[in-house]
Amino acid sequence: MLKKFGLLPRDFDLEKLLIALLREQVAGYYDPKTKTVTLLDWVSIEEGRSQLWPTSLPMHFRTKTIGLDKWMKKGDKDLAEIKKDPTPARHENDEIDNARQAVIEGQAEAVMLQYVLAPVGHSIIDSPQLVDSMEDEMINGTPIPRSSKTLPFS
Amino acid sequence: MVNLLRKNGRERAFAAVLANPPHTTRQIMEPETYLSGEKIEPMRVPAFGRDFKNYQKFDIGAMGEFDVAC
Repeated sequence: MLKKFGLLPRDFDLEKLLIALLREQVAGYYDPKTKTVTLLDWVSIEEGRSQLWPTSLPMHFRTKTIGLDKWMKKGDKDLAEIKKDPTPARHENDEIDNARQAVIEGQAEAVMLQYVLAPVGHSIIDSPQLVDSMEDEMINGTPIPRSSKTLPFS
Repeated sequence: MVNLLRKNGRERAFAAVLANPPHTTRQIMEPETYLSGEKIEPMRVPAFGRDFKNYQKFDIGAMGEFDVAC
């Protein structure tokens, strides 16, 4: 789509760029299929515990309770893969996957912020300004999501 | 998410959202539209097969608020 609108050269490999950029920021990930947290070996256990565990554990519990993997794939098949012109209802469903991903990432972010604030006697409920500044830091401190239209945790 | 938590409590922000998830990124970016149950009819797509002869489909997809907000 970006190429069609002339925003990228026709031969530009956006996928390659995004993978290279995102790879720099990955410390680890949670795989709902295997229910396993993978931490890259150059990330310390302490860093993993403080940054990855708070987001991964809620996903793990949701995997056990709602079947996170299936829940995340509730949206229709990619419209580009459908031969017939899609109906308006299918267009509407095209956004479901993005919305569900945002829910899971938003919940994970909330748990992580709570995990950071709890030791100093605060919570995300009673410290709205602190949470706002932390959220700004997470979003504005990461140039990729804004430029690539991906969610901050994706 | 944090705003939802502040205004409506833990249950409404977590389990209830999983049970009744939002359908659009507009409902994510403007939680009040999710909480109010706002329903916007999808835009009608032109009948390309009828209105355009010999067109070639390049890509197709929905553009939500997240796609056009920044």
